[in-house]
Parts: sequence; C-alpha cells; structure tokens
Amino acid sequence: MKPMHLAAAIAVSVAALVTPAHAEDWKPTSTVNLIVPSTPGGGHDTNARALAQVMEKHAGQSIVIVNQPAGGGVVAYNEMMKAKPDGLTLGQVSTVLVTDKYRLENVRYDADTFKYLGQISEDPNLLVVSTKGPYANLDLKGFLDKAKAEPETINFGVSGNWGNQDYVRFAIEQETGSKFRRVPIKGGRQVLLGILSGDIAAGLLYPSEVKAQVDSGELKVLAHNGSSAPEGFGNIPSLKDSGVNVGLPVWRVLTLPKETPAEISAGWEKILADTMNDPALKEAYKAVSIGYAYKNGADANALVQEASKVLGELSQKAGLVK
Amino acid sequence: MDLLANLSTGFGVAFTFDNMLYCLVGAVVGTLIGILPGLGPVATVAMLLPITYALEPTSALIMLAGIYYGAQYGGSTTAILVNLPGEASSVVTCLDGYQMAKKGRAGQALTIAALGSLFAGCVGTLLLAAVAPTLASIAVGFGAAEYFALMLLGLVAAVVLASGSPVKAIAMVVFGLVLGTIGTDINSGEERYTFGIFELSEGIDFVVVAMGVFGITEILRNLQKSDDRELVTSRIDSLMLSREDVRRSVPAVLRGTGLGSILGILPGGGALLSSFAAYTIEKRLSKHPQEFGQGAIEGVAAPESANNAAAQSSFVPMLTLGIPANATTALLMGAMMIHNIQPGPQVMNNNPELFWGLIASMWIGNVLLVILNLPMISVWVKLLKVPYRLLYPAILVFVTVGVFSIQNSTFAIYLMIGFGLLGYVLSKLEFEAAPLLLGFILGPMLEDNFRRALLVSAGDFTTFVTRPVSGALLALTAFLLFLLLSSKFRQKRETAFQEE
Repeated sequence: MKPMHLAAAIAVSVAALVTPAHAEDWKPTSTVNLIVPSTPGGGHDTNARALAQVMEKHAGQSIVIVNQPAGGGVVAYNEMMKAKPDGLTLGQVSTVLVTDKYRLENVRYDADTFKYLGQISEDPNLLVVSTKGPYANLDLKGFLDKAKAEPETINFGVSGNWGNQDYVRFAIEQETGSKFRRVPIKGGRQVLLGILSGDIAAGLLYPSEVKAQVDSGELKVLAHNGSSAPEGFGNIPSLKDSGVNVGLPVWRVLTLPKETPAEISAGWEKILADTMNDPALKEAYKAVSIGYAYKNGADANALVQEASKVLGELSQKAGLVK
Repeated sequence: MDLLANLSTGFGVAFTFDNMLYCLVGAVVGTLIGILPGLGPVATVAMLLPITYALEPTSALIMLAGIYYGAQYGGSTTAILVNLPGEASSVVTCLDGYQMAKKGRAGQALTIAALGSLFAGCVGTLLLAAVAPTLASIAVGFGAAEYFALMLLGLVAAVVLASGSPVKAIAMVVFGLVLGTIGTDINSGEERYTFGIFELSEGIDFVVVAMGVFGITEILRNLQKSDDRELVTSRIDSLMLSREDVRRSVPAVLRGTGLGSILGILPGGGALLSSFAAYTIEKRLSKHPQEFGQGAIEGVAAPESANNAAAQSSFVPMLTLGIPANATTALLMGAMMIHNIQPGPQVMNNNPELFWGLIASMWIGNVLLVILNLPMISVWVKLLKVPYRLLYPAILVFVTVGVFSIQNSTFAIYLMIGFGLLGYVLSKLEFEAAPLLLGFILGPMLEDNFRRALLVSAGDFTTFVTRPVSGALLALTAFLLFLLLSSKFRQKRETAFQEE
C-alpha cells in the first residue's frame, strides 16, 4: 500500500469514528407485546387492537395484544410495572390507574409509576334518561334542579363501584348541589336494561352502548362529558357548555416501565405520533366506535397528573381515602 | 307476517358459507361427543368457549348450539348399540333401544331415534321462533324485582325437577350460591372471601367451575370404570321402518315432542327430565305396557323426541330473558357475553341477525344431523372402538389450555383441578353437579337484583309482592315449594325417575 493511500485510509476510518452513526430513531427489533387490562372484546381490547393494527406499520414489528383481565386490571398493571425496560413491552392504561388505590386493596401503582408515550383515545360518557320516564321533558338544568329539590329520590345507575361514571356522578353533585340515589350495577349493558325497564331514571353510559336506543327514541341524551361531542349523536351539549364544570371522560394512554432508557421511549413517542397522525387510524377507530384523541408524551403526563389531582380530591370528599 | 320476514333474514344469515360450515362442525362435534360416553355437551361447550373469541358471535353461537343438540342425536347411537348412555339424556333410550338391537332391530331403533329427533327439533325450533318475540317484548318491562322473582322460581324449579334427592339438590344449589358470593361486592366495593388473592377479586369464572365439575370430574369417573364397550352388533341390516313401526311411533313422537317442548322452557328442566317423563307417559298410555323394556319402539321414539325438543326450547328463557334454563344454555350465554352481547330481551332488537340466524341454523343443523347419523352410521360405530385411555389425555390437554386462555392465568388451572376433585367427591356421594352450576350462575344475578330492587324502592320489601308480575312469580314459587313438601307429589316424582 502506498503511503498516500494509507493516509487516506486512516482519514476515512477516523472520520467514521467521529461522525455519529446515522441519526436514526430507535425502533423495536423483535415482536412487541401490548398488555391490556381487559378480556378480548372489552373496550380496552377493542381500542388496543384498532391501534396495534395501524401501529405495526410504523413500528416495523408485529404487536401482540396480551389480554390480562384478572383481578379487575390489577394483575395487568403489575405486569406492566415488572416488564423489562427494553421497549418490547408496552402497557395501555386508563383513568382507573389513578383511582384503583381508593377502590382496591394492595394497589402499588399511581400517576407516577409509568413513563407515558401519549394519549391514544378519549371516550366520553353520555348522561341519558328514558323518554318514557317522568324526566323525559326536562333539560339538563331542569333535571339537576329536580335532583336538588328532591334529594336522593332519582335512581341513578352507574357501572361498577367507584368506576369512572361514579366519579362523574359525584362531581356533578358536588358542582351543582344536586343529590341522586346512587345505584351501582355490574356493567353498562345492565344499566341500560335498568333504564329501559323503568327501574332507574338516569345513567351515564358510553356512546356505543346507547346508540341504538337513542336512535330509536327510547333514550334522551342530556349532555356528554367529553372535550368534543361524540360522532353520530347530532348536536348534544357538553356538561361544561351547560354550565356544569365537570369533564372526566375516560382516557387511555400508552406506557413503558419508568426505568426505560430515554432513547427507547423517544423512539416509541415518535412511532405513536406517526400512528396517531395516520388517517388509517381514524378510520380504524371509527369502525369500532372509539373516540379519537391524541396528546404527546409530556402532555399525556400532564393529563394523568391532573386527573390524579382532581380524582384524588373527589375521593377525599367521597370518603374513599382510608 | 313478521315471523316469515324474520325467518328469511335468519336463513339469509344461516345459509352463508361460513355459517353453514360452523353449523356442520357443531353437528359433527356434537354427534361425536354424544357417541363417546363420558364427554357431554356441557364439558365440550365449556372447552370450546375460549376458541370462539376469534369467531363472529353468530357463527360461534351456531356452532356451540349445534354441539348441544347434536349430542342428543349421537347419544342415542351409543345407547342403542352399547347400552351405555353416550350422553346423560339418552339414559332412557338404553332401556328399549338396546333390547331392539339385541333382537336384530338396531337399524329401526336408530332410524326412529333420528327421525323422531328431527321432527321434535323442527317443532321445538318453531316454538322458539313463535314464542320468543312475544316473551321478549314483555320482558323489556321487567325490573329488578321481576328478575329476582324469576330467578328464584328457576332455582326452586331446578330443585323440584332434579332427579335424585331434593335435599341434596338444595344443598348443591346453596353451595353454588355461596361460591357465587366470592368477589367484590358491587354495592359496597368490599371484597368477599377473596383472602387477598387478586385473581378472586372479580369472582370465579363460571367456565372454570364448569370445566372442573363436568370435564375433570367426568374423566376421573371414567378412568375408574373398566374400559370395555361391547357392541351388540357391528352390522346394521336395514334402516327401514315397517308399517307397524310407523303406526306405533307416530303418536309417541308427537307426545314426546309436546312434552319436551314445554319442559325444556322450564328452568332446570331440559333434555334429561323430559326424556324420563316422556318414557313414563308412553308406558302408562300403552296398550301393551309389558313390551316396554323388551324392545318397544315407542320406548325409543318418545324419549328421543322429547330430549331433542327440550334441547331446542331451552333456548327460549336464555334468549328472551337472559336467564339460562340449564348448564349448557348458561355456557352459551357466556359465549354471548364474551362477544359483548348482553343476553336478554334486547338481543332480538340489537342483534336480529344473530337471533334469527341461530334459529334458522337449528333447522339446517337438524337436517344435517339426520344425514350424519343415518347413512354414515357405520363410521360412527367405528369410533366406539377407540379406547378411553387414548381419548382422555387429549381431553385433559384441551381443557387445561382452554381454561388458561380465559384469563391468561395459571391460577385458573389450579382452581379447575380443585373443582374437578371436588366434583368427583360429590359424585361419589351422589350429589349432582348441575344444580351447583345453576346456583353459581344465578346466585350473583339473584343477589344483584334483590338488592337493586330494594335500593330503587328505597328499602321497601313489599315491592316484590305488589308488582303484579313479580308477585305472581313468587306465588308460583311458593306453590312449587309446597308441592315439594307434599308427600304424594314426592312419591310421583320418585316413580318418574325410577326407570333407570
């Protein structure tokens, strides 16, 4: 080898050493698991499958949905915490992340447990009354006034014991001075049957649960609690539009274990952003009636912290904090 | 005609390639497990439940329902040829079916069993199609008080109609109720009997219990028996019925069908009871009762028609009220819930394609079953020669994988094994598992509705009797309890089950 060539060769190798490797974002190199705290077919699962179908394209790897419904979601959250921080196990959490500790025993997670990649959806509740019942002719204000004038006489169905809808009901009462007779029932569909049979006067339900009955005129929607009206219900007001300062829709957020390296979480944030901006995702959500909403990692963190604060205060007032 | 329009929707759904295929799969699997002694429809539906996650809900129900009524066909084959009930509700068919086979009339026995079942199945399905919409439209107005009364009636009826000792049946129902209280109490949010175990906080999954007390227990019981199945004949000469056979069978089929259709609707009734009752009535009405037990064709025609009619009509309470009539329909309800369909009066409006598709598929399935069971009988007979020691390991693996997949949890497997051992001990002591499962499934619903009825009426106990429907149902329940206590009825009840 001639000296000149040698010098050139050295120059090239040095250059190779000092220039940073391709400024490419981190991406998973093998199959990814997404832990979901519900059975196949549940709301969480439906959301996760719609998301994963589009996200696989952007992640370049297949995404396996791991259903872990045991213990009402506690087992799923524990597994998300214990997962290796290698970016190959994602978690999907929702509002109960910050309220489970008030509701269940031995809960070791709260708002600070995970790293948040971004918000993936928002499902509002609809406040509905039966059109055959005694409150069919009232608007939201009239209905709440009634509940204030005659406290604890209006049967109000909520799904589960201190699930999201119970908090929304309680927040409405706190905000307006009204008082309902709380009737906890297992599952939204049972709440719906209760309203239709006349046992229960009103309830909070997801849009997909009441669409058929609202369309057929059996139920009337008084308000929703989302940041925008759900599709397909016409021009219904939000609680805030009607002067009742209550939000608390159910949100879902993707997570990684807290100790995941920044490079990996940044990579996933990018993948999620690309996914959420993909028109195919909105199509997929629409097909299964999941409410679209997106916030990036930092904003999602703020969302979770805010919910933790608001729901914590409500739990305190409701006497749930032991 | 609404009914015709609905049925044409139904046949539109049922005649798609996929659904025809699932109907056929259900019919084949049903025949198979019906023929093999020691594997009943409850265990099979429980095992296949997790697999249906991946299917369309309509296809899943069509297949599972096919297994249920398919087993009624298959069960009679084993009863006639081997003198073993391939399936519980064929117990009575053994009596005369086997005698007919011994006299060289196996073909005729098989033919009348299949044709009787076909007729009964079609009528039972027609009844379902006719009654269900009316019942559902009434049931929409049912509140918690009415549901409580209905379920109480169901549990009491299950005890009254169960074979064997009523005290033991009550004990099993109560045991089921107690198991059903495990989990988080909906009203207070407190955990009950969970002992800090996460997996119990939502209660025990009923599939785990069903697979334990029906799947594992059956395996244990069968392993204990000696594995010799003597075929009375492997040659079946002619399937043709003589004119005399037809003349004697027609009234028996008609009576069996009527009885089965009515008894099937009652909670706790279903196939087993109706076959016993149909046989007893035939024997009593017959001009030559001495022939019963010696190969009387009515003794095959009546119970086989009755059990199939009951299998179809037991879908009525499940599809219209969301209340299972027996363990198998309880599992089918579970299949609907897996697919996020709340069984009850709303099914017909919200999922008409599922409801009418299922009904239409039952007719198709019954016709498929006759084709499967008569011309192809020699194929099935060969299956009877497969020794059980080759069969049960496969069943065991299948059951274990199935139960794990429900919650991705090994805890469920241990729990199932526990229930299997418990079921074995109970069966040794002659306790029936069916009332236990019914109590376990109805218990939490009973409690929820009871407490909700009180909650919405501000704690007023009279709400149960002042609401007309609930009051009437409770009066009926009280009457049934009174019957159970009266000694005359007890005697009659005992003779009805004595044929075994």
